[in-house]
Amino acid sequence: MRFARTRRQLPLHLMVLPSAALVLIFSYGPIMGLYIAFQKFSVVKGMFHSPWNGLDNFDYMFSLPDIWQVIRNTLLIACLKIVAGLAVPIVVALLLNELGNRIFKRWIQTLIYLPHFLSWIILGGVLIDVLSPTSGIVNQLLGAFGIEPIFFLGSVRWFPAVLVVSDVWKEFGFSTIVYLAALTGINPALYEAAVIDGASRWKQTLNITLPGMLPVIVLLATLSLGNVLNAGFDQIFNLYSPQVYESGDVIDTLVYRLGLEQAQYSLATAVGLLKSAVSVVLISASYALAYRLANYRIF
Amino acid sequence: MAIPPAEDYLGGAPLLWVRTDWLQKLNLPEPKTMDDFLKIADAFANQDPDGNGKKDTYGLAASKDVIGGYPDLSGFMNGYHAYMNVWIKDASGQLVNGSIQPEMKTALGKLQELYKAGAIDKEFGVKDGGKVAEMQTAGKIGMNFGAMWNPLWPLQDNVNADKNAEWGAFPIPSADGTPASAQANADFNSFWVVKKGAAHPEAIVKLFNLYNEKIAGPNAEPQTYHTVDGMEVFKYALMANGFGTPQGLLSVHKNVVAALKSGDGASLLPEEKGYFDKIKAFQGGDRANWGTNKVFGEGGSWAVIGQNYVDGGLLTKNAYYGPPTPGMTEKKAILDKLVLETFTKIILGSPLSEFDKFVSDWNKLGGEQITKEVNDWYASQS
Amino acid sequence: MMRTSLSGRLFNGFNAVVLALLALLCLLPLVQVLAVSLSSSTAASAGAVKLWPVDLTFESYKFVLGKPEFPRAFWISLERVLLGATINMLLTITLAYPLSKEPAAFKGRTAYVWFFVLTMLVGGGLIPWYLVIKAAGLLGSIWALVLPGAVNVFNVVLLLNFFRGLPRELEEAAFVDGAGHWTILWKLFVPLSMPALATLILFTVVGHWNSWFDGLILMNTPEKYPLQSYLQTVVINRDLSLITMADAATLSQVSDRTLKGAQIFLAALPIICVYPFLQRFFIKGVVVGSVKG
Repeated sequence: MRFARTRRQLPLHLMVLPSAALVLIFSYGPIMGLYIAFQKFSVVKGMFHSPWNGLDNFDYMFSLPDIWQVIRNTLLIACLKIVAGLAVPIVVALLLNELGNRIFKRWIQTLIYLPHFLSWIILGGVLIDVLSPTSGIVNQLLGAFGIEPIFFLGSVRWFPAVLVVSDVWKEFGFSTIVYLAALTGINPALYEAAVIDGASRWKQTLNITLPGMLPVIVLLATLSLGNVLNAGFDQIFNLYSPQVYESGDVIDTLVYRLGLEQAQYSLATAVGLLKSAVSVVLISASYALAYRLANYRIF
Repeated sequence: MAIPPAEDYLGGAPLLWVRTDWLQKLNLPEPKTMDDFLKIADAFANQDPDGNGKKDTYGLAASKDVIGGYPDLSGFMNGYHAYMNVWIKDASGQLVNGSIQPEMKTALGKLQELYKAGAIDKEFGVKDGGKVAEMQTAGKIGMNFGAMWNPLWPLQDNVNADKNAEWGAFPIPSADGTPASAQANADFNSFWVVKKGAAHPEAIVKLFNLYNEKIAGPNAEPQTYHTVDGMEVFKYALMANGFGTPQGLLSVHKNVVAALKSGDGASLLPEEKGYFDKIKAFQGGDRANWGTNKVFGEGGSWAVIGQNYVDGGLLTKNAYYGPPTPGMTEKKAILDKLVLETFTKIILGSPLSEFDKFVSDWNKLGGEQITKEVNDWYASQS
Repeated sequence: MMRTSLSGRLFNGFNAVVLALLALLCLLPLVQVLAVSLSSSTAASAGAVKLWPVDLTFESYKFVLGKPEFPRAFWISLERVLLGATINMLLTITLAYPLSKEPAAFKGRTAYVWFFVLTMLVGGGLIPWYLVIKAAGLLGSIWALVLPGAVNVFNVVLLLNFFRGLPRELEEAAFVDGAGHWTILWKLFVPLSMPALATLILFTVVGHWNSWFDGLILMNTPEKYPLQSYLQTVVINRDLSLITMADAATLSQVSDRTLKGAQIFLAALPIICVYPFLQRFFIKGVVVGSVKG
């Protein structure tokens, strides 16, 4: 009986095999390199001859004077991005779903994906102009409502908001596409039945559309938890300045500047290891929760 | 053993660049003292030098990095005998860091005044050099401190955009009777090293010589080794950045100017001949080569550097030029962050008393330790 | 056919306006980049370009497209995208299928899943990654750009979720009819997952087309650079504290703002052309028809 089952499952194992082999080599291979986090790594000596450092790199990291401020900034910015990055695409996908005109819908779908192609180097310059307190469009609009100009990029209070809004703007197209694809999988018969029962569009959205999207929402939410300590180096590096270090300096930017002095690979690897550990814990916890409470396997 | 790259101390020394056509328009004298400078900065900001009826011009360029090749506030600070991030000798002969000296407090105070008066862009703290260059190209800034190559970029862009624009190079004006000495860093961020036990350690010197010979020596073949079809192939040589022109760009300038006077460029080195030709083109009316003339020609960057900094002995070199000490490896990035944040805040308007707190923080966070290490090194040098 | 109520029509109108504004907001910066790329370097350096080119010139495009390296890099990118996307999709499909099964139907499934998911969260860093690829002897070969990232776990997880959403009855019916796993996957699951697959194809193609860092690091000669890596080298590195004499001279001749603009636009162009084509696959109701019987 066991043999029969294994034989029936053999094709499945075989399907996994090529991918597993590639991942083993190209993903697990480099993971062995995490070893560097515990060394005082020197490029000249290489991985096999650099002296062992134990937890010294981690000690050093936590003894940096601004480390807790930097960690706080990272968590705040990342969490805001995760929440906004989930909410906005869902809303946009729902709105797009309501559009009757196919061609119009296609155009919008294409256009919202475009910001993804712009690099933060360019966007940095654009944002400085757009958000300028003297000549920027945003402040001119605010002025029309009688609001005083706000120096967005130079204000410790507003800087995180700029980061979140601009990042969502740049990447929401990606998730929206995923949600739209998910929406096509919902059974139209459900809608037909609802209409016959006299349900309003809003009720239909609440009771059919959203639940239909729920698995994908939960999935994307869980996976984005893996990014809770990645506040977005590329973006922040191009937008921040000493004026806003207080709320804008994050783990990756601090490590980057430290690395400038003497290729501090050990430190960078140690920080990376710590971030990965946190991601693994969070995602495992989500997976376990979803399974225990809702008998639902996220993946 | 390590051979450092042959660096030009003078290449990074700050000069003062001024829109001389604006000076003429507003009837202002050239800046000889810091007082002159402050007056000019104020006038450029408030007296509408571009004549468009709007108060949209600034006196002094500044960026979020505070110092650098462009724009550079270290030149301004040097006028008050303040030296940011440079190790200098104090009265007792010890090495101290220029960033925490009382002169720096004075300089920052003056910058704060300029900011308040509108001579410095209110948004300078979030703009990088590229963004500031845009403003200067568009004719919104009248002065900047910066390195000798500024005429090639960004000033050339402004000259291209505005046919009336003219820039002058000046030595740093001083705030008191003592002439200002420009700061100079030999940034040793790379060394040539040979692995112990390598079979042919002398190969590296041979490569240096070959490089020299083929590019700068009497039998040089620059068409093959220096620039081919506009692509600077010499940069890809293994020994690139290992060796500049034999006596530095100052001698290049002197040779070029002499050749321009005599009218004969035949005896020039290939690199110098290139500049010679471009300057000749400029003199013939080609404004696209204004920059080269402003760097190597008469009255340009190197003229100022040669006559003032070199002949006048007005160069303050970074007294520490060893490799990063252990303290620096651990703490320098943190100290740099503190310096940038504090200086920016003060320029933006924070009370000057914050400077004193900054000094004590700087020492506590590792500055004291590094100062000791630097002095140990210094003692061992003599 | 229900007549749309007044509030319904208002909502439709409002919705259309909001979405149109949003799309415009997304379009404008790209338009500006395009305008900059078509402007003279002086105008661009002065920041004078808004939404329309100033001193219209095709210099930057001529400069970028004119160099012989450009078509060569273009073909390499094309090769990479075709090879990479195909392998990616094949592996994604064949991996998502078994992992979408219940643990009862596929022993060890959960262990496999964690094996793959872990690699999304944990990485060894740049240097070990490079060393592994070097040890595999792939440096300088197009396979270096295709194999290390061939298994995209994010895509696999997305697809396996879609597979899970397909009705169980379909599979059971197929088994009864004597079909094996392979047949079920390719004859049944794949045709029913076109929206998801279209999405993944788009992401994979975009990912391969845009990636430039690996090309720079893993290709040992510039002739082997894919397009984006090559374009990166065209634009001058402007770390102002490290600028050399020669760099300054070059900067004065070519504006890197217009070059960057051309570079970005050339990067986005193929995708803008391909994407609408892929949208054909976002069709509703494909699943339902098969279950009714």
